[in-house]
Amino acid sequence: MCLGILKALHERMKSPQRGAWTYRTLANWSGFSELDPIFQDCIQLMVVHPRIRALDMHLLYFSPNRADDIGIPLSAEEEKFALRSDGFYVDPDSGEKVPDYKAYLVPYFVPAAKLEAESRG
Amino acid sequence: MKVETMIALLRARAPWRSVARIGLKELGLPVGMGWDDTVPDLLAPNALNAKQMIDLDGTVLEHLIVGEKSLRIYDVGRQAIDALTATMSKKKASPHPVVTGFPSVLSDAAMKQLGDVPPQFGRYVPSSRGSALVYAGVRSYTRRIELNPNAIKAVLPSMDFDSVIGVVNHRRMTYDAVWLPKSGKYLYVLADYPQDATSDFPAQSHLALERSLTKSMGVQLVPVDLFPAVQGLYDAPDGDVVELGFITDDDSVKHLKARQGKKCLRKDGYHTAGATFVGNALLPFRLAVRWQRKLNSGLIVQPEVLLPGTSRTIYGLNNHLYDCVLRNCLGLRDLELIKSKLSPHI
Repeated sequence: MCLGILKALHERMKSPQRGAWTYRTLANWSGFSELDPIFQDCIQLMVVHPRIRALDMHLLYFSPNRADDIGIPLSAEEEKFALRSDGFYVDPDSGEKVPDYKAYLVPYFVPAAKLEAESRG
Repeated sequence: MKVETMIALLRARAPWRSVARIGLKELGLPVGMGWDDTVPDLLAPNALNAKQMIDLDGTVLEHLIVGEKSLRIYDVGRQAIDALTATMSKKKASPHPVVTGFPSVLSDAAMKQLGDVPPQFGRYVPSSRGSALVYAGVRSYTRRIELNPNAIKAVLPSMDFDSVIGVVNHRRMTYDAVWLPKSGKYLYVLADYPQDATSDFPAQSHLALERSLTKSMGVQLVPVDLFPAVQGLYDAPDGDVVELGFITDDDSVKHLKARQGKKCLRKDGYHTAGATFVGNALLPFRLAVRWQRKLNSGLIVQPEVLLPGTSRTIYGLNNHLYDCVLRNCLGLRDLELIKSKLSPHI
């Protein structure tokens, strides 16, 4: 499955767009189901496995108190804090800690440096 | 102002990441992750030197005037502005308790006792480019708050909620301002507009201030139509367009929003390809533009103006847009910047 996803990623890298990819975009390109736990594991592997490292994962925050929020990307420092086991996240508007903050963070993926290099040949 | 008051005013009113944090850092003050992480350092004995105290006072006062506002512009003529400036510079603050200890942050209990208070004149603030009349009031509005579904489970064990929304009647202090520039014929009214309030929130201040200004100036005030600035700012080369609503000659209404970051929707690939396809025949009705203003320290403030037109404004004949929304402004210089961007189009 990993190879299938990688093939789809390489195909996509031929286009000039470098957007924010979601589980769903990756599933659509590679033809797997985003709900398949093995698919999700594969994506995780592509983020963390030192020899694959095809994708970088980042986080978007969707404020629970704003009805039409389109999501705010976290800075590198905020991501570091949010992913720690004793971490927290501060609402960018109020500056107050968000209770149960992990429920409002959503991952997205961008091509990692390694994938960019491979796609350039 | 005491340090406690200055921090409380910023904490209650300024967006943390884009305004408060930047304003504090600019003065060389310690800034952590969020307010809880920052306040103890600011309240420590001698945390601020004498210069930082004065500078922070200025920052907070300027933010009261320009921060998170709905703006209306009135063409009243130079003479009327000079006359009003002369009268108001000598005017005493209103005797109403809402302006006692101006500027202050009242406790929930104190606000409950006062109830809703329309804008009361608090202070005349002179500066190099003009002067501001600052008003304080109290207003309640409804807010949506997401609750923890597990807490509700304890009360309603038979129900499984994915999300629970609470509606609360929230009371907050309003700080509204009238900006009287030293040059030009326009007068600017800035009404408080918290991010989580609806557009009827600032409308109440606009109505009250318009009435009070009409009375003291003896002329009927009619706000300037800002609708031409929608097309004007879209066609202008500078700033990043971060929100755009438009129609083309087909049958759908388009509404685009950009996330935080530097992307400009004018250059968005999907948008430019579509604009070329329709021969650039698009009519914008809603637009937000963000500019970058570099501070002395190299930090950047990103003042933003939203012209909140609707598609009805563009389909209708002779419709107007009387107010715009200022976001992420830190000080008077941001107001100056936005004024200079709007003025060619009004």
